[in-house]
Amino acid sequence: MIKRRTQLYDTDLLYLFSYDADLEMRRDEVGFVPGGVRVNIFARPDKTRMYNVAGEQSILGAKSLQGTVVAGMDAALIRNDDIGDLDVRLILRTDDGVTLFSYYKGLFPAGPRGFRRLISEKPKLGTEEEPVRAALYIMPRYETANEQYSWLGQYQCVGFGQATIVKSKIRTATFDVYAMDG
Amino acid sequence: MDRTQFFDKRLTYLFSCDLAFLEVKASPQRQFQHLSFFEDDHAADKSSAVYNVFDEKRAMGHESVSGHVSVLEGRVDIQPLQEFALLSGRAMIFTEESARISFTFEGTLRAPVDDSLWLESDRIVESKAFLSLRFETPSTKHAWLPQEQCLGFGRLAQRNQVSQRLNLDVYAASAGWPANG
Repeated sequence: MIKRRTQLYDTDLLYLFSYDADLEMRRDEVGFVPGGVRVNIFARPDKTRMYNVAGEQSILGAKSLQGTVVAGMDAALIRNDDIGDLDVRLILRTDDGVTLFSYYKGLFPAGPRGFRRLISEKPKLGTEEEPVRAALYIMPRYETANEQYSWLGQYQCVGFGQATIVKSKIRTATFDVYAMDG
Repeated sequence: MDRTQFFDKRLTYLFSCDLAFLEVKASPQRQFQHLSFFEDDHAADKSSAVYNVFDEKRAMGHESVSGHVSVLEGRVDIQPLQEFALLSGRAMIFTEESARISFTFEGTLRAPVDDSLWLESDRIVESKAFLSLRFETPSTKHAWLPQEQCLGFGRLAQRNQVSQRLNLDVYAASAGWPANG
């Protein structure tokens, strides 16, 4: 019989950076596929900024991460059980010229009847004047060959974020990214 | 314009998931290790447990998940010259009320500072596990679980590069505002 623990392990979340993704109006609407609707959403190059919310110049003893997204795509599946599966690839470039590659999955909990509300209902969800704001969660990892930022690779990260939805389309996504530690 | 305030963030403890690997085989490959676990759902003496550490009956307004792990298949990918490895796989929980909940996991393992994951050692080496978990289930009782992005904080114990035990605490992430919808 396995012995049960009576204490939890430590859970630390170390703040790394934030980013605001401005999403292109153009998107590949693949359409209805088994399980839901698939759409490829692209980040607008150079309009997506990586920065430190608190304005800190260093994090975890290293240089603070600041820069832009060079390219990015989310192959999202809006599932008919009201769950959005995110599948993202991002290429980031720091202000000092280092390229970082990030890949991650994430979750967009669309809420009760979220699939119908996003896909088929009229009027469409959110307006320019009153966009709908929705929670997003991402679980990124980062890779780089640059020694100055290679410490990032050891961390499984988590992002807490928010999407703005206008006319049933995600217009922006913004996140605070933390490294899991303990 | 850059934001100047953080979003709220919360981790809500859901349950823990511990298992002792029964049959362990050293992998012929040094670049990865295979993890495999299987348990008879009706065995009297279980080698795994899914339980609430505080013995609480509810989590996030739902009944706590408790039971055992039926099956787990995973792998540890060693990163040469690094003090971390990648851990990924899939597992299934069989709950006390006979529901099945499957989940995927992926993330990193970090060795203690004075050790390395690939160090051959007769003593137990515990690596810290940091995982992303997503759940699926046909159970209406646990239908809330797939709606959550979950995180696992835990330990993988190894001896001579062979995995002995995996312990995980599972949390749901939330952004501190009401659920979408």
